[in-house]
Amino acid sequence: MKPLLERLKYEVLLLDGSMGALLQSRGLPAGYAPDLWNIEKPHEIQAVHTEYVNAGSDIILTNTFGASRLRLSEYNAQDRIREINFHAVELAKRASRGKAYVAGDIGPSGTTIAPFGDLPFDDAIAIFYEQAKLLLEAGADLIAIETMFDIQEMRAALIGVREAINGRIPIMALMTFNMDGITDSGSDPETAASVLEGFGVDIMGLNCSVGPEAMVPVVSRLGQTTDTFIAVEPNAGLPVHRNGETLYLTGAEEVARFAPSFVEAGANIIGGCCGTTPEYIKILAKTVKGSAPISRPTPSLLKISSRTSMTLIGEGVPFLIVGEKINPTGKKIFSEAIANGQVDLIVAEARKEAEAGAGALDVNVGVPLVNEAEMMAKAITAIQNVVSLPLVIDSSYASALEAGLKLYPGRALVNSINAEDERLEEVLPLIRKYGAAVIALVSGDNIPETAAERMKNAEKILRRAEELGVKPRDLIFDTLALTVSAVQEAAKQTLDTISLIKKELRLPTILGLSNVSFGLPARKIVHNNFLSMAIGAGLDAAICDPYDQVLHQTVAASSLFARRDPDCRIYLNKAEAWTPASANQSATSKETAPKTTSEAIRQAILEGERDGIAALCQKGLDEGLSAFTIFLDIMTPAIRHLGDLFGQRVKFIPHLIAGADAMKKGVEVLQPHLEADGPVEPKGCVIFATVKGDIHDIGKNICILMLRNFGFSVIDLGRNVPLDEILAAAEKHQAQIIALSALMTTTMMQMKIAIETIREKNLPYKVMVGGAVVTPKFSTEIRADGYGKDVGDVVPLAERLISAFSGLDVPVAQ
Amino acid sequence: MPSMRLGAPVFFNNIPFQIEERQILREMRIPRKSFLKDLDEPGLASQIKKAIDEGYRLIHGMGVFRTLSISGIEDRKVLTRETNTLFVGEKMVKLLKNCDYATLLVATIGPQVEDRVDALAASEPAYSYFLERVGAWMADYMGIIIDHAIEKEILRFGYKKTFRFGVGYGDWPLSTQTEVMELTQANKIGISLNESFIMSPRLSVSAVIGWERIIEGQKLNNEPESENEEQ
Repeated sequence: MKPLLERLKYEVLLLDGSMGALLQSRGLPAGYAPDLWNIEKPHEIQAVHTEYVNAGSDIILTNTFGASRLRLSEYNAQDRIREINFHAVELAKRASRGKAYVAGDIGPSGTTIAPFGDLPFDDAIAIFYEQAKLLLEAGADLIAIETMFDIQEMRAALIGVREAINGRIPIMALMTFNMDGITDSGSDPETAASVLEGFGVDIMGLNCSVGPEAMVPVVSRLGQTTDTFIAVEPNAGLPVHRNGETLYLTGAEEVARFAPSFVEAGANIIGGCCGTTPEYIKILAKTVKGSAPISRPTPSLLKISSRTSMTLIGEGVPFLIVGEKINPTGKKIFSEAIANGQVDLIVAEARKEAEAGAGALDVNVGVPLVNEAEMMAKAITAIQNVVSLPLVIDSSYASALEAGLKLYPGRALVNSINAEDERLEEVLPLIRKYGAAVIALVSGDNIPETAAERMKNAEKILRRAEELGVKPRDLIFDTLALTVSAVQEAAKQTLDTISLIKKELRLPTILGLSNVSFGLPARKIVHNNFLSMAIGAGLDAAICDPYDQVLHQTVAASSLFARRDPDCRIYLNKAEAWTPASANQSATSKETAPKTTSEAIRQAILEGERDGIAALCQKGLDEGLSAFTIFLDIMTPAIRHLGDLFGQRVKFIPHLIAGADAMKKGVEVLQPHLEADGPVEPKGCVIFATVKGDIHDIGKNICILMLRNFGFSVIDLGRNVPLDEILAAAEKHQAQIIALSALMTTTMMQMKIAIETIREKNLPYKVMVGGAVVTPKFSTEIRADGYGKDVGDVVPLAERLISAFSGLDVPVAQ
Repeated sequence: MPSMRLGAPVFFNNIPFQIEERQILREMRIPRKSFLKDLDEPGLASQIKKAIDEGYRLIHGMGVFRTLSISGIEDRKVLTRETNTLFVGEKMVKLLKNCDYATLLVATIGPQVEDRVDALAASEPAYSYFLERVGAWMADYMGIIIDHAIEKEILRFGYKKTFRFGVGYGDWPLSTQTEVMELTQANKIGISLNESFIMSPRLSVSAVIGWERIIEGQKLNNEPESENEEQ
């Protein structure tokens, strides 16, 4: 037979169809491992393969979908892994009779892979490596990795398989997409393609899960993004159940009806997955076998991706701003956090950069004496949990780069290599192994002065990269932005190098921007002007400060002149925020500002403005208002008004809480002045507790805040409080009210016990109850004195209960 | 064809997440507002924003699911190959009567949010409330992520999912929580129970989802995702 990849250039080939269903029809019991039949029922396996070859399959998959060590261990057959995989290849070979290629089939591990799941990434690689090695030794013509739901698991599989086969046979890598065209782990076709291209797979595509109709758009998107051969294996529709059997109802003719669409979309190989049989392949063979595939242009742009989104870098696409802020250099707090192994500041910075408009994030965690590999792994895991931008893994240490590359479930950009031999030998193998892209600085042992010398370094890097299996399209060159205040000529050489790389190598370029203005005042003016010139020279990306609005304006405007923004859409969208109309809006809001201090305090409570209220209260005092006036005549009416608005459903619980919190902040300023005028008599004393067994107390805490603002003395006993402790506190503080909170049906009965005890002992306390599971009916049944639905009820309820005590006359909130 | 992940728990040690303002406002029961910028009170908006930002730093989403094979129904009880004592009550029978499998799920955001909420409870009760609400939604969110992972598997095998039924809801006793924790090995994601069967971290969720047979010709309908939505 001709080499498979050679034939795929000229003809559409056919895969086989489902194995499992055919084996079940031959007596495979439900739940039994089909892989064991390679040994136990070899004739049945060979017969199925033969049926597919006779039907027209050009490639048949070995019966080894679940024959990895991990999967076989589910049947306690892990020690038979060699035997099972060898027999499988042998049976397929016999059936193929030289007419079909035998693809050693590898399925998913059946579990979840780190960092998302619990199987360590290295363990996953080892599992796939072992099976691929066996399939290769047994004589498979190619390896097929299929039905992968998670791009991270596919990465582990590809690393293991590539290491095992070392380029001796082709690799076909098939992901599974759902009806929405997205994988289980959230990757769209373009993102998946960028990762698979990074690993240099020979054939990529999709199989399983959905029928042919839902697969056509995915094949089409793959066809538009890659020139790699594409394979597609649809199910015979979605399964249904009939008389206890699982059936796939889309017929062979119907599946075959979509085959021409697959070919038009770019497919080179078509087969079937669940529910398909030799009959399906026979009809597919009549429809498309041997037809000419469409030709697809070779993509010229660099692709980097996160787990869920892909970004293009190069000519004609938007300029890429790579955020530079995740870097401890010169940041004491950041460095200390990293030294302590904390990632919270890194996560916060990553989100801030993303919100500021960065298109990718550089991640550098280099702090002296810190285990950088360990820290990089933590940082990459934490950032990719909350930000979907592609990451640039930045370290001087290969160990840190590798730690980050392992755990990153996308196609990372590595920062960086240069023309030094040691660095090339250390980092380029990692780029190949993890399917990454890399920034190549055009420096060597020193920084060349001229563009011509820098180009020599670029050529050297390119040569060595290709020798080590890294393709030119995996590289982006950094032409070195040097400090212009030191050597003005250097800036020109940098720009010239950009032009030369674009012209002679046709590869993308990037710069670390901030260096250029070092040592000069008003640095932003300097480096933004330089950025504009560099974009004009062909620069594609910059590592820079995404918080600099002038930088965004520079990029947007320069992109108009660099053919990066057709129809000026990007510029127009961004310019909306820079136009005078936005400024007018803030001017309008200033017009509603309160005019007097009293009004400002009132407004602060109504709007929950806690940050400014202390200063306002102090201002009021300074202006001659008494503390009592501020508290009784300004704050208290304001918080009552807020309560009224809550009752009218104009304001809601958070407003009430924020208002109470603002009032509390203000009262803290007034308190010394209030106390100076003599002791303040509380309205009453409330013992507040979450009942025994219950650990929820957020509602209780908010009720306490409200009660205290309204002048109650509240003793907070916390949560999970035994009844005797509650009663002891009530006696000690001569409380009038016991307030009980519970959130669980299992704990609310503690309220009943408490009330019964209080009644039995004839204790003088009113009991109010509340909490998510407590209802008015329950409150009545247990004979509580009062029930509060939510925090809005608590003050009126407490005031009502207090007013029942003789000799007390308190106003009741409405 | 992927094989069904029966028998062993499937763990998710690190769930990527987004904290959507819309959902947080919903969790706080502020109607008709989708974004913080829509609020008329900038002070309140900035407090909620701060809680969301802190949530991003403190949340560590984890989850686990385990699928059990249903073997029959007997006197207000759903029997499975793994246990006959877990699925008790009329609501459980109603939920799982047309199902071949039932998947238990447990999810959490880890202890850090509630530790911070507790630490701030006395000094900053309002902010502590906002942060707790962020945590409460995100615990549900992690449950929804695991729910969706299960749903994809359910559809792949020709079933449709029932709605998600929380442990302790309806007549499904909270005391079954002990068995749920054991079967899912939820201790591996840091969850334990107190004497009242409440999970710690308390910002955690536990539930069951049934695999209901799709009868030929039956259309998938848009049922509520959880028993909460149904009520």
